[in-house]
Amino acid sequence: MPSLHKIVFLKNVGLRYISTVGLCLLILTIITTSFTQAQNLELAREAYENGNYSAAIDLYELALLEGDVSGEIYFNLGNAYYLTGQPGKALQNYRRAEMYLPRSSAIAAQITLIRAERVDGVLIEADWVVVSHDITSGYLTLTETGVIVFMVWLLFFVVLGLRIRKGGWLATLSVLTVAMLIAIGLLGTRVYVQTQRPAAVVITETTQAMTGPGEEYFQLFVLYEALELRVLDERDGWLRFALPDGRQGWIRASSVGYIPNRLG
Amino acid sequence: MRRVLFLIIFLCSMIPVSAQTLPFAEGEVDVSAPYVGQPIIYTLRIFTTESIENSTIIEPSFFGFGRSRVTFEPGSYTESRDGIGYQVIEQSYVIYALRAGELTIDPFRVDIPETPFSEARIIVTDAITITVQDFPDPAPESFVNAVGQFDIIAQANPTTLSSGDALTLSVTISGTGNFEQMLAPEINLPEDWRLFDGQTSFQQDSLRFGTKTFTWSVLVQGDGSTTFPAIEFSYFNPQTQQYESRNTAPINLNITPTTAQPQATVERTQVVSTSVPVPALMTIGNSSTIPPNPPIWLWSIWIFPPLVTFAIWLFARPKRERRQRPVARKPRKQSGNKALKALRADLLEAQSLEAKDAYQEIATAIYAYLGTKTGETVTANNAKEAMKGFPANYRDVLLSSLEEANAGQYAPVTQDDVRVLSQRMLKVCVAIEKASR
Repeated sequence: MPSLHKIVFLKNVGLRYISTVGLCLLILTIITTSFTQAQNLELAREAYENGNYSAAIDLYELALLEGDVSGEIYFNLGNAYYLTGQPGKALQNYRRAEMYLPRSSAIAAQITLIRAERVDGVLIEADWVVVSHDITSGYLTLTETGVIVFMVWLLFFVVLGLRIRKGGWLATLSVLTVAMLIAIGLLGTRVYVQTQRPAAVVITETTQAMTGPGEEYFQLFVLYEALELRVLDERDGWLRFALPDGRQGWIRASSVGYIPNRLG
Repeated sequence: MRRVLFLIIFLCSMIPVSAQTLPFAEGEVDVSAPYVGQPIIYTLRIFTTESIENSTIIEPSFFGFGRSRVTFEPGSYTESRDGIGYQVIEQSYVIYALRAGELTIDPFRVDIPETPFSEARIIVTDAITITVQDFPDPAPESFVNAVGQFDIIAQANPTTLSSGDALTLSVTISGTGNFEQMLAPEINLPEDWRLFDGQTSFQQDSLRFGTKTFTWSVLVQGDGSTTFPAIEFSYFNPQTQQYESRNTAPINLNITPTTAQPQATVERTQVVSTSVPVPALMTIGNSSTIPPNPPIWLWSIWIFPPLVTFAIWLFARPKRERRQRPVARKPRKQSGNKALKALRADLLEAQSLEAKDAYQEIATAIYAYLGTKTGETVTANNAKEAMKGFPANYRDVLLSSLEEANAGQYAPVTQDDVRVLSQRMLKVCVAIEKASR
């Protein structure tokens, strides 16, 4: 019979051995996965450059599925969709890329190109909430906007603390109050639009807008591919949407592609 | 007499009270066999002999039709029907058929509420069935979806420019037809020219007539005189039941050569190429890995600044309240130097306060100084008494400064005023000490 000390010793050694092996396996998995992902992206690039855009789409989609998410991959995927004549999916991916790289002129140029080429052309946004959202979204990611507004927020409370402690600072505090209200307004509309009115793009050639969530409702008008809209509600596979010019209606959820709206 | 009364009642009963004076409504379309997309003007007329101000008009669904976003103010006039004068309220709607075949415009309904003189009523129009025709084949290549009668004009500005510069091209289509659905005519450009920023504006001049303008920026390349190609615009004319085409007049351009290279990068709102170039791929892995959406902890740290500020306020509040409460200082006769030292400390502390609080603190400090010197409690009432032994000129200055300190609590004062008053008080008190030695 082994003594209790021996059992504890063996158990400790065993546990240490298992943890070491486990750690090695984890590192190996990470290295292998990274290597595979890098290999897939390289294959996708080669396929794209050889004009095999469908294969490039599959490989980029695979990379995204495996969690290798970045603005560059979305942009490259958008390019591949664009060259296979799918402007809706191309615009969807360009808009996703823009969320990561809002100051990229290449992405902006491709988005402008598709907007000009689509049937509905360039639509001017009429909703002031969305206009307010667009003030920052074209230049800053939500994280960057959040950090800048937090700095203004922090500065406001620092000055408020100084005023409580020592008096004075009234003019600075007034200016900061105005700045903070504007900044919070911009951030608020940004978060509101991104979560409550997420953007989506029509990805089918045409889709019929209805007055309600179903085929039995009346037909309103036809939406063409690559039209951008804001989703207001979702019910039974149908989406209530609003167009930039204010028109509203219901369309099948399968006919549009969402632009992600997670807040982290 | 009884006979006359009977005759009046008989004659009154002969007057028709009748259904003829009841309100009614009718609907009418201006064309019974329109083409797909052709604007149809639906006119609703409500005939009434009484006020229907609070009535509700319930529009039909217009199933199978599109509805123009252009709205028109209702009109009103009088009309006689069957010898009865009616007030007619007329409202027009512009609709267009979405598909060919038989389509029915459901009835309009008007709900007239109850008034002291009449009961509530509901009146409806008749449903109208129209036969919508499809476009005949073959359609010309430049036909997209315009239905009506149009004219087209193209303008370019400027017409003299350097190679690589942009001109503004506007194509104005005017006439009668489906302006809202009308798409831009195709612009055929030389291969190395580029088209930018398509913008559209639409103006409805009247119920039937309108103007639509498409505007682009065109980046031109070349050297010498050239002609901007004519733009062809085809539409279906329901009057002649034929396709018709209009061409813009060619525009002469004078392009001067330039040595400047075309821009490699473009502005955010630019660039539409007439061909489909293969966009260059982005190199993966060069950008930062900051996620576009903030992590949840970033939202949670927002609570800390207000919390810390609240803690500062909580900490500072007793001190402020202590300052605001009149402190009963126990007078103790001390040497002039010690009194002066305490005064200096009090005046210094006063300068860190807000102006109004500081004035109160200055007055309190002077009373404390006088109390220390005399060994008695000094207030505004006996301050003059406490200064009896002081030289007259200093006493006057001290008294006037005290008055100023008391009055300043109720007047607009600044931090500078606080500093000046504190310095003046201190100077006087130092002078008093020197004089007393």
